[in-house]
Amino acid sequence: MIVNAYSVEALAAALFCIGLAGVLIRRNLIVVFVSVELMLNAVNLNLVALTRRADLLVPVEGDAVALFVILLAACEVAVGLGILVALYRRFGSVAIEDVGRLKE
Amino acid sequence: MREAAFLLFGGAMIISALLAVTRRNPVHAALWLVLTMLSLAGVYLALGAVFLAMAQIFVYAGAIMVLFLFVVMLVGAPVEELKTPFRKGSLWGVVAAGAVFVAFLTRMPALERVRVVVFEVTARALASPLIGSGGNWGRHALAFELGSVLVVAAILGAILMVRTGREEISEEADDDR
Repeated sequence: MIVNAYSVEALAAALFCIGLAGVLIRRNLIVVFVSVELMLNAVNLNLVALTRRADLLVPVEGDAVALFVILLAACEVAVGLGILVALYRRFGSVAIEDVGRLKE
Repeated sequence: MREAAFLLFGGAMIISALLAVTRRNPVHAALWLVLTMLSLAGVYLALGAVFLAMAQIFVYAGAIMVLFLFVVMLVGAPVEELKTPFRKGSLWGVVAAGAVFVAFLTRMPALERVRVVVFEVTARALASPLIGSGGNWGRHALAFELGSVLVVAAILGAILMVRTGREEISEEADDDR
């Protein structure tokens, strides 16, 4: 059987690290947000794998929590994109160097 | 069968995720994210999380991606930003993320012996912890109901933020006149 806990968690880790790299290297805030979504989904895949691990025996708990994460992600995207539009109106740009006023 | 689906959708997910974080144009990044979400729904199906796969397609590939594309179209990207989409010294970011990945992989080899028991979790199976069954409340019933309050609060917050911005702009337009 190819699909053991290691292969699923390695897939989730790869997705998480691609998202992490995106957060670290991109300039555009929209693409940074896209990368954060990738990281959230990696955690969800981990929860789904956790439900099905033979050594843990938690029948549906992980899937229920994953559904909560999807719900929270929907809220987070609505608020985050609202902030993004407000930032664009204030600064005229969504590049991360242009919205760092709090640092000054 | 399930192994083949897992490998196929998993590979498609990694490739489209890589493309999503490396494309210059934010519109392309958002569209590759759609494919990532759909492939992840395929992985969920291969692992037997049928209801979660449907929720993933409805909420992520549907609602969230429409919001993303709407904001990308509204905000857009200036031409000079399309030429340099990456930060200075972004190589170190890739190195850091790669180091985290290697750290994950080296901590996990014990998991190779752990089997994954594929079983289907349907909407009915999820309903009993979330809502309740047989006249009893589910374990997460309160959190589930509070979730709906949170969604309403998020919608109102988003509308409020975008609306005040528009009033400021119309006031500026009045000042110009």
